[in-house]
Amino acid sequence: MSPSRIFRMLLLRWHRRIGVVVAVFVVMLVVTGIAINHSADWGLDKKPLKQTWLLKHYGIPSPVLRSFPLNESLPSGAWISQLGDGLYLSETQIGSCDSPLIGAVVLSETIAILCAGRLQLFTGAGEQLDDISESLGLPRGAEALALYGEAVLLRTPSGVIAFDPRSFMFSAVNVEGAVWVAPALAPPTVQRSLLDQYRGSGLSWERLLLDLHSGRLFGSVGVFIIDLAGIALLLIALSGVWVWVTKPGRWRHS
Amino acid sequence: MPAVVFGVLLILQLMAMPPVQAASVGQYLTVDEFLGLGFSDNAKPEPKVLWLTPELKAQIKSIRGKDFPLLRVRYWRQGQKTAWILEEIGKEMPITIGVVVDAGGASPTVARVEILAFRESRGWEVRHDFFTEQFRGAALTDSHLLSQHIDGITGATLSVRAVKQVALIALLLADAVKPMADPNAAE
Repeated sequence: MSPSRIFRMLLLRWHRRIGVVVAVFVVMLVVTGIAINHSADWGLDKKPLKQTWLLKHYGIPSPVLRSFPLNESLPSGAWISQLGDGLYLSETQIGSCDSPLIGAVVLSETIAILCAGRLQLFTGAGEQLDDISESLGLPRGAEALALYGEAVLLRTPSGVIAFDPRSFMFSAVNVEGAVWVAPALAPPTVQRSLLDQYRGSGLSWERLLLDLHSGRLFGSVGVFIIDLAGIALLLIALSGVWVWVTKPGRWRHS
Repeated sequence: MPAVVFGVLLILQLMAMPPVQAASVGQYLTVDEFLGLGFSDNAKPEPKVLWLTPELKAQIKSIRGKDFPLLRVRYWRQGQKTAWILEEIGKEMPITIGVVVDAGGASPTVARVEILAFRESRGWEVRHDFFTEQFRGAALTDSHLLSQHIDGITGATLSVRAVKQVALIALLLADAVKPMADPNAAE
C-alpha cells in the first residue's frame, strides 16, 4: 500500500472520530447562531432571564424583598416594598431608597416611608410629596416607625420623636404603647411581580445565547473549548476535501 | 506643687468632659442654623408649603433638564424674604443647598446662598463664601438665567452647576409666592 493511501486512510479514520466529537458543538453553534440572528424577531433581546441558577451564575444575587403592609386607609392589599434600590407601592415603583427600608405607615391618605436616614412622604396614588433627609431635619438614627394618632412616631437613639406632616415639625414626645411597624411577607402575587420587574431590568436571553455561542458562559475554559471545536471543524473540512480529492480514480477519465 | 495639682485637675476635668460630637461628614449647617443666618437673629420665619403647578414643574424641568420629583416644596417666609432648601445631585450624590430670596425689589433677588450638606468627594469648594457671595443680588431673567455672571471653580464644575440650578429654582419659586409675600395680602 502506498504511503499516500495509508495517509488517506488515517485521515479518513480521524475525520470520522473528530466528526462524532464535534457534532455536539455543531448542533449547539447552529441552534444558538440561528437564534442570535433572529433574536430581535423572536423577542429574545427583550425577554428576561428568570432562572435563579443562571442569574446566580452571572453573579446577580437574588434581591432581598422587604415589605410592610399598609393599614386600612388605603385599598386593601396595599404594600410598600423595597427591592434593590426601588420603592414599590404594591406592584408599582414609586421612588427609590438606597438605604434599608425601615417602615411605612399611612396617615390621612399620606404614606410615610422611612428608610435609614430618609423619610419620604407620598400621596395614596404614589406621587412623592416630600423627601426629608437628615440634612433637612430628620432626627439622626431613626430606626423604627409607628403611627400614633395624627402623628408619625420615629424611634431614635435619643428617644421617641413625633413628626407632624402638616407643620413639618419634629418634636420629642413621651408616649407608651406605640406599635412599631414590622416587616411582613407580601402576598406571592406581589412578590412574583416585583421579582419579575427586577429581573426584567437585568439579563436577556440574547445575552445568554451570545455567551453560549462564544463559550463565555463557562469562562475562559469555555472560550478555549469553542476555539478547539472551531479548529476541529476546520480540520474536518480540510480532511474531507483531501479525502474527496484523493479518492482513487477521482480524476481518471473514463 | 499647686501647679501640679492644677494640671492634674485640668486633665481629669478634660477626661470627664463628654467628647464633642463630630459633625457628620459634609454636614455644615443645620436647617435652624441656616435660617438663623438667612433672617435676622430674632426673626421667626414661618414654615410654609408651595404646591407646584404643572407650569412651575415644567419651568423647573427646563432649568434642571429633568423632572422635579416632588409635588410640593417647603419654604420659610419672614416679611419679603423667603428661604428655600433644596437638594440637587452634583455628580452622584445630592448637595443640600439653602437659598434666601429677597422679594422686596422689583424682582426677587438672591440674598444668601449656603451649602448645608455636601456628600461628594470633590467639588466641596462651593461651600466657601468666595463662591456663594457671587450669587448675592442675582435675579432671574426672562430666559431663566441668572442676571449676573457666576465664576466657576476648576474641578467643581458639576457642583457649581448644581448650586446655580438651585439658585435659579429658588428664584423661580420665590417669584411664584411673591403675590403672597405682601404682608397686607390675605393668605
